[in-house]
Amino acid sequence: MELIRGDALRGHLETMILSALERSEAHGFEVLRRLEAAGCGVLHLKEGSLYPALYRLEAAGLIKGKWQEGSGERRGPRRRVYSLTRKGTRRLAEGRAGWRRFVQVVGGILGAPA
Amino acid sequence: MKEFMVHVERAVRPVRAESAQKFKMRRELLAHLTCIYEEELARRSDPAAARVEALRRFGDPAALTRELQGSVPVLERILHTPIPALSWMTTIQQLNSRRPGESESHYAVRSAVRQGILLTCAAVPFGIIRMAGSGWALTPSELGVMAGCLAALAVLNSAFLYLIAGMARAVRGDLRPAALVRAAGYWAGAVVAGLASAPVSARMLLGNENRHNRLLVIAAVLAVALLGIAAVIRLDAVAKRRQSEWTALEIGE
Repeated sequence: MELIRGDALRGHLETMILSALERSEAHGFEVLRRLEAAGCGVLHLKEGSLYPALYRLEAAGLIKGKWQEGSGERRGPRRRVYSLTRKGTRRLAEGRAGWRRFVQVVGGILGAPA
Repeated sequence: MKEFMVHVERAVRPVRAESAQKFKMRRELLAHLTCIYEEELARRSDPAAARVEALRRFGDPAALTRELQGSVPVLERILHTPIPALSWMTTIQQLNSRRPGESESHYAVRSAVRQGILLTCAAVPFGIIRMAGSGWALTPSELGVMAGCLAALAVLNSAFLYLIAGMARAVRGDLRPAALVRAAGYWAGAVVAGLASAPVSARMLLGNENRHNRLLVIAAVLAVALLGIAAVIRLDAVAKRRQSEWTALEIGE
């Protein structure tokens, strides 16, 4: 199956990140793993490009981040853990509704309803 | 690790943003890159190949710079845009910097005297306003007193700035007891010098009419303000030290 690259996700990546964080808080690396797992291996992102989206979401108050305390299990730099805010949960619901509408309309036009 | 830091720094350094935000980006991107490397290393058991693959997966630094820049709020971006016309700031900084071979104490005195004189010059327009307010009718002896006050102010301001610079030097380094004692000494000296300049300024600008001494209030305000300055200098020094391992990296700009 052809890979879906970052450019094709423009406009959707942020809602997808909100969705990945819905289950539980996670650091960037884990968010990416969840997105890839949910994308069944078809989704292909340049990993660094996840962070600008996280910063935009944080600046908009949709997620909040905090530095992870050292657990001793893992060496290397500290990671930042993100969680969904109430505003983020609302935005995710809006994003899902918007997506359903989009698929319905465009699918109807293309003759390929979801 | 250094190769990863250089890769991250190539992406982050050109971003126009607050230094605290850039520091967050650096730490977080490095943590991510390290995670990818560990994952690849576990998969391949070949450090060199794992490094190459980690960098490939992470993405091109120039493209990441553009994306990171897009995540910075517009106002913050504008405030950190370099303005070519402000290169004169660099010239001023060069004029104010330490000359080759100049001792630290000589440099401290020289820059304090220069800045003290500049600060005193700022009082001159107020003196002129006072003369104009009296209809240019001040007596020669009063003009002499004003000139004397200006000279005294130049000395006091220089001493004041010298002591503040000493306090800054003391709080910038390791906060050992000796450094704290030195900082406290400079702080107390600066309060005294600042306090001494208050009646001189008042005499010059208000003449003999000034009978309301509020030295205690001035001393309290000055003492608190100088403590605030010391705290800001300390925080700035700590932040700069934390970031220096990044900003000192050679990234082949």
